[in-house]
Amino acid sequence: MTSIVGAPVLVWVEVRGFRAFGTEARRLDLDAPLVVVHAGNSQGKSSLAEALEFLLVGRSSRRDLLGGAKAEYNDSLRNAHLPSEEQQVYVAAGVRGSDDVVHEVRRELTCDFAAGTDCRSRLLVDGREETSLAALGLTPTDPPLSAPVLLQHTLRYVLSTEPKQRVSYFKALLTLTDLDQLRQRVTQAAARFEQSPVGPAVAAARALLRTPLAETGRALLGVDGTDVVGAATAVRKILLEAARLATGMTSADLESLTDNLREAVARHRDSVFPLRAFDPGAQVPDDPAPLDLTRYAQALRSADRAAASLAPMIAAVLSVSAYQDLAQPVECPVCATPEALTPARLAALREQMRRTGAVDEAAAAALAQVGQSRAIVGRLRDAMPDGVPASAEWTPEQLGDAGRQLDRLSTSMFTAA
Amino acid sequence: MHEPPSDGQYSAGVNDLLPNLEALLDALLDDTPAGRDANELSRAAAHAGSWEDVDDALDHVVAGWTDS
Repeated sequence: MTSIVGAPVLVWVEVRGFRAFGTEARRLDLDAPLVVVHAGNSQGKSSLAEALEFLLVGRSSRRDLLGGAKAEYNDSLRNAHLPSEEQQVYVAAGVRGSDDVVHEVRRELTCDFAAGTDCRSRLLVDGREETSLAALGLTPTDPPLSAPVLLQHTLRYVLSTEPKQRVSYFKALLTLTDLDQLRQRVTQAAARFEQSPVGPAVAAARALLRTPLAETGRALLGVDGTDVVGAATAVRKILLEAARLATGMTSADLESLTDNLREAVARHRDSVFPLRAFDPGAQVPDDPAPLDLTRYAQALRSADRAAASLAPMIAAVLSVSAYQDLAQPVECPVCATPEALTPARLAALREQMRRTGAVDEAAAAALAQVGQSRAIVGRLRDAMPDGVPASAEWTPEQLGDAGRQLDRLSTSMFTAA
Repeated sequence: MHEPPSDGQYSAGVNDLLPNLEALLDALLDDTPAGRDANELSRAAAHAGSWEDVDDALDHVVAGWTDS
């Protein structure tokens, strides 16, 4: 015979003044794999069994089970032959608990069955008063067989009771009540789940009930969630159909549905107020690149130097009065070449001098214009931050936050609608 | 709470609170949604050392379902 791991074990039992037991305390050693108590009739076997029952639950089921006149059981627990002054009626036992320690359990009869009243007792565990033996792993089953120790009582009860109670009894007898308790805990967990706040998906579906998509919301709430794959397919189908009815757009899958809805929301926003017109464009550059006039200035200075070296000499030639009205070619006064200075060449030199002066003036004017333009660009650059929305200088993170806030605002407005 | 054994097997008597759980798990073999759910709940309870632990384990499983 094997013991159940962790189950409490009766090591010994001691009875005094209970039923057939007299004033001498009787102790029985039970610390063995199998204990057999045998004796002839009326030797106290039933009293011993009832003593164990009394120890465990503080009563005798005989009175409840056998029925009849309750008065027959008045003063039935205390040995009828005890002297009236004798008060010590008890059943004690050593119980080895799951901690492998033998605890002394003692139940004292404080009041026997009487007319119209139950018996009363006091339970002590290791000298401390307790209300039950649950701490030792000894839990009573449902009444009336809270501690089924007497076979004749048990058989009588099992044969006469209702089927449901009979099943309960056998479950208790076969230690199957743990699964009943598990089932009860699962039921309670289900009740807690039913009372818990709904999740975001159900909340969103319920929110739809207040919108033109109420039918969609009802359909979503009606989806059987026990079949995960089937539920996903059903939800996808409902959403696609609802979007088609709401927007007139047919979407092949949830991805394209999302894109279509975003586009529809954007169009709806634009129709109410064109917020997208306020979206900032390209960022304003911090500082426009400066104009590079280096090559132009170098070329101009080179041309100036060349012109400056020839201009005095040409000016001197042109200032000679004899050449003012020259009609025939004459010798060049610079290189002495005969007939090199002709009227046409003099005219060309005059034109060259005129052009040189004009180019200088134009260059100076152009530089002045460039300077003015740079000043204008500078002023524009300085004024631009004041002339564009502050969002033009937002970072990508700030732009993302603003977009999300706008989405939430749109969603709440849509839901409220 | 009791930790599950490393080999995933629950021998008789390991769970004092639910001595018949192993037999229940042996019976919960049908590969249906309800059967799988019952199996998951029962296995969660197998680690419990008290009925309060059972409640926590069951709530944990249900929370996992709602979050998935």
